[in-house]
Amino acid sequence: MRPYVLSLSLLAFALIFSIGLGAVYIAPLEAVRILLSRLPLIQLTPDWQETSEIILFNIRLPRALLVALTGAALGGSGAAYQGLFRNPLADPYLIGIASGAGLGAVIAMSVEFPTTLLGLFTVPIAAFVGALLTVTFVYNIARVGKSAQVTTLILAGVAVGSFATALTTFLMLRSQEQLRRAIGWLLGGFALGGWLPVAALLPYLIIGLAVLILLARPLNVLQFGDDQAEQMGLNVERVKMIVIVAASLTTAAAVAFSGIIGFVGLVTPHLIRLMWGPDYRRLLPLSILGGAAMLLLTDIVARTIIAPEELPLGVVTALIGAPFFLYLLRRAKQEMYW
Amino acid sequence: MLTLNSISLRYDTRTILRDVNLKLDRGEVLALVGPNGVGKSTLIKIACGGLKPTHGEAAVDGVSLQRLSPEERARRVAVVSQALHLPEAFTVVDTVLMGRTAYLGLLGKETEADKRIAHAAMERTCITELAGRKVGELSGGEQQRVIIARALTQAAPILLMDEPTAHLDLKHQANILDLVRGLAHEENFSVLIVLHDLNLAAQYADQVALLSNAALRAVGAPEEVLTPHHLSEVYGLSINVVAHPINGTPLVLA
Repeated sequence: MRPYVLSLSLLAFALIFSIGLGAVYIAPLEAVRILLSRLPLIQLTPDWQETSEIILFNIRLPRALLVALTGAALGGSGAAYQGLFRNPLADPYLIGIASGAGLGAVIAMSVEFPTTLLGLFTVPIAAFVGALLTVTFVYNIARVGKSAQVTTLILAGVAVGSFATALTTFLMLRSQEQLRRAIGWLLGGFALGGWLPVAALLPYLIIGLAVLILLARPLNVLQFGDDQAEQMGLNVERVKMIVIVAASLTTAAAVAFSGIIGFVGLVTPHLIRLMWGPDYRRLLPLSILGGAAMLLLTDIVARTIIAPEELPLGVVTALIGAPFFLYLLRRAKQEMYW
Repeated sequence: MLTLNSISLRYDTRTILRDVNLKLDRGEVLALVGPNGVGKSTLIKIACGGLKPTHGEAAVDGVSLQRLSPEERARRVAVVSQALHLPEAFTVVDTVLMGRTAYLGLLGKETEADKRIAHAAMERTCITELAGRKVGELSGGEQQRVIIARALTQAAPILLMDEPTAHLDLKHQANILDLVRGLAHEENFSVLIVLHDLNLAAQYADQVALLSNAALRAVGAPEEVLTPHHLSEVYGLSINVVAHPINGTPLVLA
């Protein structure tokens, strides 16, 4: 119980703190009261300014939720991929999602779309499609008959990823005026505001992450290797397939709106493992909560450190995440945690 | 009952196994012996359905293993493979409980009954006191017993073991082989066990199958198979066999 209470409180704290910060500061207590006032059955006399409420609901809350959902998606699918590939270096981008999404996004950016609603959504849609096409391609290349070898999947993912990244770079150099925008997107930036991205992301996330949590026990069994898992009665190929589909959909949806944010998907599951052990029945839900909290906290830093300007989130995750992770690794080097 | 019907396996032009016929009855310990690299481990993989032979089939009670799902196979056949990799950070009890996978499906949760089965298996393999330890902290012999406990937790009537005593000292070797023989003779398990040590095979097995050059050289009671004639031919050096001074089983002297 304690790990859940701890990560939920951290998440709640990060969320409330995050929606308070910005050009107009809203104190945490006030933010909580404004939020509560929107709940049914709760009567609160508004003693806050109306603008605070508008800023909170129309700008800050949807953005914070988008950040949190992105973190949850990356944490959860990072844990699932590490389990599936039995590789501590695995992250949600291992088999081509990031490079595919990047290519899709940059292609969309190099075409001038009208600024209609659909036009605004072309980049996320193109990124989403690019990510899923790449993963499907990688999976089919690695597949022999009914089974896909883990090593072949990783290698195919790396090769296809490099190819897509090369194309992306080429396109970016060709269309210099879009370069800055493209780099900003690739490093993780929440270009779209409002509730629409949250609503678009939510169904993928709920379904994808629920499937991953349900498959936690099979992921445990998979840690013994394909042969042993199959001898114990696990339908290994089916599990692999479902995990790849669920984790890819989740990640692709998150990447589509938030760009490519590194490190969260790699580090969060390791952090949880170091603290609470390797059991995926715990590791998966905690990585989801932990990923959300971590990305929110990082986002706070990204927004405040050179305010009023913002650093790309992908830069900050690595700047803070890497040293913190190294520190934890040093402390845990005696322990078997993987 | 496990039957291997005229099993052959070829990789390109290399013949790994040629026309192997074996029958494993209920309540029987069948030891598979032979020099290195004759295909003993390969035969185990075929016998559990993990590898499809080029010709022939492995069948349990007349049903070909290739036609069964992994769940159905695992409920019939449990495997203790050689030199297994175990994730280090899982505890012993969690690892043993994984043996219930075939009964839980993809979404199932372990029940109290599953836990009782796992604990009973841990008791039989003398690892109850290790339950909460991480597998990575255990010695090779202790890990071997964890794997055997996991296989018992699988509650399959057929047990395939590939050198299960390889890492064990004399006492634990005897413990495990006594346990294996007890499972067969008292609880009607069928055990196919690869043993390197011919004297252990002579002492513990009801039947011995001698594999040589990708084919079966002889099958039968230990004293019929483990003869100087067979062994000298198969191992390519002069071998003597005397009667064990205490229990009369063949004692192989190389």
